[in-house]
Amino acid sequence: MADAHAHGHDHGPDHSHGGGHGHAPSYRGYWIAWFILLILTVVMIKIHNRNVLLAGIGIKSCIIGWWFMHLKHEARALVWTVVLGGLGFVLFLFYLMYFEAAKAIPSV
Amino acid sequence: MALTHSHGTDAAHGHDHPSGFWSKYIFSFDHKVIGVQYLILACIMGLIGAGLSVWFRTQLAWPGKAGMSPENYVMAVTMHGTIMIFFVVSLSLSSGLGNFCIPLQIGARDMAYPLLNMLSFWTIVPGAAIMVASFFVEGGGAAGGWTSYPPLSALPKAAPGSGTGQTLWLLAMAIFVVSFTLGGLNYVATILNLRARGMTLMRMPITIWTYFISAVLGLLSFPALTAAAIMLLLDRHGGTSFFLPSKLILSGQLQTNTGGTPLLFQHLFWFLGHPEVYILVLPAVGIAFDVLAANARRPVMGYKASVFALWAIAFLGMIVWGHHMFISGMNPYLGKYFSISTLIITAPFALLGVCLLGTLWRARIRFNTPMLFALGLISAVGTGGIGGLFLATATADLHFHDTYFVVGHFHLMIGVTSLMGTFAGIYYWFPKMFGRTMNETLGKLHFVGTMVGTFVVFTVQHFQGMGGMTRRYYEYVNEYVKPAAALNPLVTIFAFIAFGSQLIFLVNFFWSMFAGAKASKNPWEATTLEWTAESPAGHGNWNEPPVVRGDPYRYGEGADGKGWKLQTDA
Amino acid sequence: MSGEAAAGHGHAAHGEWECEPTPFKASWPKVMMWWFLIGDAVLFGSLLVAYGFNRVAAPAWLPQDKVFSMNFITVMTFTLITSSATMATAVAASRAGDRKNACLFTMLTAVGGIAFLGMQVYEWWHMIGHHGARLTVGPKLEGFPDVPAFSAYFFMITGFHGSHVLSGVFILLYTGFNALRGRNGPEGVELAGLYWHFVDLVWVFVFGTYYLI
Repeated sequence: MADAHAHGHDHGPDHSHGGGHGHAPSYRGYWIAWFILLILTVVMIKIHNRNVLLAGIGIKSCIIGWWFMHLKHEARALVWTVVLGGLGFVLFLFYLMYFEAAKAIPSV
Repeated sequence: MALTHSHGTDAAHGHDHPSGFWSKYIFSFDHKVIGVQYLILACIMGLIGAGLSVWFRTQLAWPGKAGMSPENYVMAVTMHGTIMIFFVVSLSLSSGLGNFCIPLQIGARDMAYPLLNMLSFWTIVPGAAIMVASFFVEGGGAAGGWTSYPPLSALPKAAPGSGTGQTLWLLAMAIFVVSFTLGGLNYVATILNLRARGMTLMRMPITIWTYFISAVLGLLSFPALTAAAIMLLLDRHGGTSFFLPSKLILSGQLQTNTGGTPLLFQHLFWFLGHPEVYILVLPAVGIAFDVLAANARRPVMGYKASVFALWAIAFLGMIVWGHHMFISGMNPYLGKYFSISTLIITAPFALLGVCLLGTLWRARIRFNTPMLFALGLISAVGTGGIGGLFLATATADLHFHDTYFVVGHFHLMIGVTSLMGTFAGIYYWFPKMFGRTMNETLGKLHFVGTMVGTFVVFTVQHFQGMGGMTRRYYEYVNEYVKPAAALNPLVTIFAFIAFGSQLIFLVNFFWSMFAGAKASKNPWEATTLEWTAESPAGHGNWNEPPVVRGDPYRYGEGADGKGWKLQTDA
Repeated sequence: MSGEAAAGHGHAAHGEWECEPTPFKASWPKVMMWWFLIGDAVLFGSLLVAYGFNRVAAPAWLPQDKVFSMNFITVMTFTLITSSATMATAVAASRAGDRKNACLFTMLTAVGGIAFLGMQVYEWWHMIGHHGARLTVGPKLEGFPDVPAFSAYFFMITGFHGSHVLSGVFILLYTGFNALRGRNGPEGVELAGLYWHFVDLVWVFVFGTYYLI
């Protein structure tokens, strides 16, 4: 995949990159993921349980990130950057803000 | 993976060497021109920001003699802070020198996306103009402090500057964040993807590491300020109560707001605010590494350790924001965590300091102007860092919070350190910018004035703070604070000296641009990649792509008695 | 990777400019897009953290299933998830060089986005018209106190998300037309796709934390 483009510098604006991307997944996988997402949505709405909800959010976001956004094809460095940068620091912010809001003693 | 550089908009641009005045100097895509544009904008804003400090220092030293009302005073202090942090240090160090150095030091033709780079400069210009314009609206500029805590910033009627001035402040800051984000995206993509053949990550000069780290920090932390600004705007103009508590009384009137808390704003603000400190300080330290190595003629001591320390500082910097809020009414149990985690930052910073000093070990130092500023930076980091230990300790901070101790500390860190680094960088890369060198005599005069002026001002302020002098006061009338406040005329005189030396710099900068001595390709006999390009380098930087064959700091190598090797040498 | 030539022309005058491999193994437009998304995630994250903070600290909160029709919200969520699946299909089609399907599925995605926006407009109209909610006044419910923060966070978070959907629709329309005419490589579609999936991802969090918890 990385070398697929090594020769394509002088192309005009209308060239197309036919093929060359070895991992182009079939459409079917996406629609299976779609179906799982629908089921999860219904489960989250029907079961009034906080843990189920949080698990649902986690699984859904993983499916979207991993399959739809193709993180499974990306370098591990990018995956970790996204997880730590986009989610990790925000969760940590909330973790501390929770004790702030609840006037609770942190369990650390 | 082999890549060509693509300049997304070269079709509109024509050639590598644009000939027209507008495309060459005003709407240029060339990272070097854009860098210089940022520097010049920062010079203009710096005159305004520093001028404000001269104005209110006069008031502090000789109350009533500066033609300044209390409202003017808080406005001047607020705008001084905002302009200096966001429109002077950020623009000159991060945006200005960053744009100039990054492609040159990693061996790229230009930034990854030159059009975006130009746009990010032309986004910040209206932002700066709006910030300056806010002085002239009814009620004057923002006066809620550079942190703009609610409720002072959330209620338009809270103070004279809380009206239109505060709105314009928020608008200018929003524009700044957009511009800085565009710039940061360019930095990250450029450094990751456009390094020349052979320029592996661990062969990058430390300057590039620090720019990379500060761009990452900016991209991760500025959105929190954006979120806070959105909510603040809704509070101001939509009547919501995100940051406004119940039962707030303003000039005898009970406000209708319910359910918010200013603490939320403070958390979001400092989630940006603390990383912002490292965004400003780290590139200065990185530049100092380059300048020190070149003028001590020794490789940087502990290159890997420094890179590790920089990442550790960046990571820790993201999770310690609460130490700005020890006495805000925050949950005191969080204070314990923030105190400990802040003190841990001392460790990587000490490592960095050892590497800076170790580079000088048994070296035959060339005391030219850039080197003097780099040495001054080491001193400022050390001196300012000691104050940080006191402020990180929650118990000590109870006393020091919001006193001149804090003012002295953060000015040494993000004021003096960053500007020393910036000046070191400007004197150092000036030959590459304009093909001329800056005047050494004026440069040394500038250094002495800056060093003596700022150090007297800010170290004395530490003691004033210990003496109980709180910040943001128009005049000190209480008996207990009189002894500390008696030092104010001394501080002000040295502030004048520091300000005056910056005027020397401006004269030197613009004079040397046209009339300085012609410089060779590599006047400092330095080893990093930018010195293999012409001085000044044309658009595109090199004719042939450079190939990197070694570490960035190859001093003390070379068999033919030269004692140093360019990064491209075999 | 494919973005270089798609985004512009190389420097023909200077020949080939070789670069070191990057740790992310992705082209610079993609690296930029990912970093932009990370930043945007922190922005939405901060808004949601603010909401969470207020929610934990608030003495009372309104039951969401009495304010909103949960079936309606489910349909909204289905719409957005479906549009995400069509987008992924468009990206795959574009990679396989199938311009027609790439355009078709991108346009279908845009239609999904427009449908979502329409439902969101209805949602706002329902809040404002039926429940009497304003930015500063909570929705009126029998037997429940007025919670202004409920509507303040509702309008801010869904409004901000909606503005992302709106801009996403424009980007999709533009990308779809270009894909049909072959003016962008697969990477153009992929970048638009990344943005669209991100909008969907944010909705997962908004849906879970604002409407359900």
